[in-house]
Amino acid sequence: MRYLIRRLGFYLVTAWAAITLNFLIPRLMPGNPVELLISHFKGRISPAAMKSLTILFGLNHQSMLSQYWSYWDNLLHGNLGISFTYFPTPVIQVIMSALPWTAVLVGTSTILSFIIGTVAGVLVGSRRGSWLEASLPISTFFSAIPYFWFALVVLYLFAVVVQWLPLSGGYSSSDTIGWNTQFLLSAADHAILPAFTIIASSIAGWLLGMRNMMIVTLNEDYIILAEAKGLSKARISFVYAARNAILPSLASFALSLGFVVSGAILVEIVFSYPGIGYVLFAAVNNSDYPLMQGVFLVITLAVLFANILADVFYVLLDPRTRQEG
Amino acid sequence: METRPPDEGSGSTTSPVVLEIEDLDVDYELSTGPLPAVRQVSLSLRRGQVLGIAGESGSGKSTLAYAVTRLLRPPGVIAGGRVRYHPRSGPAVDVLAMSDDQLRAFRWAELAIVFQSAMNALNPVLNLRVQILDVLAAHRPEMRHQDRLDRMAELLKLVGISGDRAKAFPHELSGGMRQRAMIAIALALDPEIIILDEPTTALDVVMQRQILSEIMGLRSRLGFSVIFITHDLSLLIEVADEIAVMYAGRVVEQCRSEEIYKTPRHPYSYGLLNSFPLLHGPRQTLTGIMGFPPDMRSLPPGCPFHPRCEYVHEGCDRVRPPLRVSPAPGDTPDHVVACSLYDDRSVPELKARAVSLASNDGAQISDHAGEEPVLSVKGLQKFFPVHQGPRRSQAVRRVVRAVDDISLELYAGKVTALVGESGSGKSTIGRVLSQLYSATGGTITLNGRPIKTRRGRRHREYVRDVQIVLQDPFSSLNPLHTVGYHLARPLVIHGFARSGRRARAAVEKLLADVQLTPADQFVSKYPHELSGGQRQRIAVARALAAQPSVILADEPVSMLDVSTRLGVLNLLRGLATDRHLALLYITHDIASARYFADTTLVMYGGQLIEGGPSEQVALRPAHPYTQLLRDSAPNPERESTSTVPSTGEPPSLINPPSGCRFHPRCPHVMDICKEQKPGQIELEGGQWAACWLY
Repeated sequence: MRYLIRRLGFYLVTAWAAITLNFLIPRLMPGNPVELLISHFKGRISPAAMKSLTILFGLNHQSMLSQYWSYWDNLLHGNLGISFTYFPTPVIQVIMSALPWTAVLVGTSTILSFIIGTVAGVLVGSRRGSWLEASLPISTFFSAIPYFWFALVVLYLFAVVVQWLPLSGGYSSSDTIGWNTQFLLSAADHAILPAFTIIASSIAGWLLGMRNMMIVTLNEDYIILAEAKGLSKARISFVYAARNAILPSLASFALSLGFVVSGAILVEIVFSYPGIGYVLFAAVNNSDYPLMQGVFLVITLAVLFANILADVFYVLLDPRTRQEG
Repeated sequence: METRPPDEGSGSTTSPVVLEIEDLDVDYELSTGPLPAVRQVSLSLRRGQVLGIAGESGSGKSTLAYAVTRLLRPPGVIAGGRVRYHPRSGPAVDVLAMSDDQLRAFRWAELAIVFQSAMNALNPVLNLRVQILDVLAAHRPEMRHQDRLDRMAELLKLVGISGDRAKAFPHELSGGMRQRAMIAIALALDPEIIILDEPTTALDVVMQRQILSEIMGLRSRLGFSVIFITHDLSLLIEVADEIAVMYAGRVVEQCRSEEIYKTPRHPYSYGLLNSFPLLHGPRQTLTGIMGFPPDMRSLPPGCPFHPRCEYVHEGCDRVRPPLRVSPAPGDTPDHVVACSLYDDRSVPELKARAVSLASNDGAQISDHAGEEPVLSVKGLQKFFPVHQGPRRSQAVRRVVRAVDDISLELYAGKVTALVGESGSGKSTIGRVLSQLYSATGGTITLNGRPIKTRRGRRHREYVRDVQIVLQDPFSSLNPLHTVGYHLARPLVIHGFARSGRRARAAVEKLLADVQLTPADQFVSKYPHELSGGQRQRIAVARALAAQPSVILADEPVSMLDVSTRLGVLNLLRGLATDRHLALLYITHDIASARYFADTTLVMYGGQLIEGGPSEQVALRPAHPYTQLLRDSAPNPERESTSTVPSTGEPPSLINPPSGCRFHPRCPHVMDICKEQKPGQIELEGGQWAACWLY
């Protein structure tokens, strides 16, 4: 328990540092991007918006300290500024409407990919030399080919040639967003192709990692002892070997959960999926600094949260971390 | 628990055979072709017997154990032979022909195994309870849960683990406890046979003695048979009824254990027996075995031992002698040996002809009157901070008092042994003296000059003058660099050579100094191409490169094969004498200190408790702890495994016992021992002890 509390303290400090960096970077960038930005927008937005931008970036010559103070004040009130791209929607609203799409699509496929890859890794690792090993080059092939090309081929085959699945977007434009069957079905329909491509291209990592750790673990004395004890093969593979072998995979899984929020940018671009990745892409294209800052902040917090999750998993699975000191 | 007929368990040679191994061959199938690991091994284990298998690394003894239990991992395969198990009732079973399901049922119920390192053999993420109940669940599915719990409690009690430790995870147990837990798991199904693969090698000598006598006690109570595998022949002679000595995958000699002790017939057995310094009886010349253990990839033709054999003669390099009954009169007919010395049925006497240890003659009393010590240490302390304890608020800053008030002196040309069990702080002393750690308190004086800081010219001179040789030559040499690089670096760093290339001559000289010749065979080799003994010689050469006046050798031979240990010790001893080096020999083995060191200091719980001339300290120890060490050491003369009173565990160095730190384990404890720390009491002949008995 004390271990977790100590870790939590560490994450609070990290979060503070990340948020502070997020505040500092646009202000410390050479050539003052903020002023550039404002001149770039001159004439295209209303004077009122101009003024609020000036205030937002502290160009009314406040001291750094008071800027920092008001930055925190805004942050805690959920005020991340106004997006240029989706003007005049507040950044927080843009992010909030994109987040669920990404979280569901990328989140689910990351979790599925981890589960399938890990279970397959356990099986392949504990049956060396069997036909299952054929899964290694196949899955590696899918992660090695350029994702962009792979997604386009899949899109072409399933959405253009046979037309089983929709071509782009997160739902069909005829539906209204909400908890109705028609919308949910259409959203699921739209998610199948991107989810499939994410899983197909990322499964090799989990599979290989787990298989390799299984092979290492299966040579440990305690596995040989378990075998000598006459335990069943399934119990040895899953309770004795996999339980130990999964520890490193788990850490990278937690990390990849953190990056779910940043979205699989390529996926969302190819499929024109209305998620965070797409928003970030749009923000970069339009030099939309407030939106970028907002997206980075959310990504940072998500990664930190995922790490906390990893720590909790670790404590649950590895008794050695429960030791005091 | 079922009890077995009392007439068994005595290991008599007439009791029925329970396990029969016949002409067993094991190969490692490598891409370059099969590599023989075990060849033509035939052994039979009788009910209630302890069958010992002795051999060094690469002899195939562990591979044999894995083959018998069918636990071999690829690329290991059983290439031929038979293994038959004879149950108490019913026909014999062919172990090698069993299906996976039959095998699962056979393992553990009939044949259990205890591995060397309990830390690795216990699953780190499961507690003891699960690991014991697992066995019962797999083999006795009909057993009720409560019965399983009762059985677990019974098992833990049997091996002396209190029931509330069942929920402990392996890392929460001490080394001895873990090995006990392993034994409890092994006993779970009341097996007929237990294979012990180096069961006590990783333990301290006192703990080793305790575990061993417990195993043997359990054996006579429960009546199981034992296959005991170890490199330690002297230990084996004490516990086994019959012994097979293996070399390069084959049995080279097999007979009853008294016979191999009194009249070994194979030169290898003879050499092994004379490689162990003993703590008991008069000093015998140790001969050791020359050379290095064989490389199974390129075995010499003929008798595989011939390149190392003192008795090699015409034909040894051509014909491999078969295993035959020893023709010696007085040998029992089941004494077999594979050596061509006995071809013409004559029986030559094996005598010490090999390297004899250039040690102190034992009688001399080291007298340093008027001599200045090279290195002198006064009141040395080294504390490590810990973050431990229930609540930090109530904890005073806690420290591990690893070294607590140690004073010692090292003299040129003399060897001082520092003996202690693991956790006694002996290695910490080595590390502080080599300045890998800075001292918490006390003074270190080199050649009359005190060392204060870990900076500056004087410190640089100190770290050049005081060199350390570490225990594990497998991890102390960087695998990415050649021998030549390892030896040239210190020459360049300490300014003896301008560049690595110019150091070549000096490097070759160093290799010659540690008897690795011809030097150019070794210069461009990588550590993994060398055997353990050769690597440790490289480590010694590296220490010598700095032209030191003091060498700290931290357990320099404990990781090495028995037959190469004497060679390395001999080398160090010779260097100390010839080059006038002061040598601190840090070890857990008081017997080797007896043979090898002039002065022996005994350490317990971070403090010195006894010291004096080695022969005297070893044979007539004054402190009860040193006496315990002596009584725990293997002794082939001992009739049977005598029981040493269980004396508990080494002390905590965070919260050491008050007064004398040994008092909680001491058989002679008095009231004063608990209150006051005893001072050093001078005894006869330069011996002293810190004990209130004197």
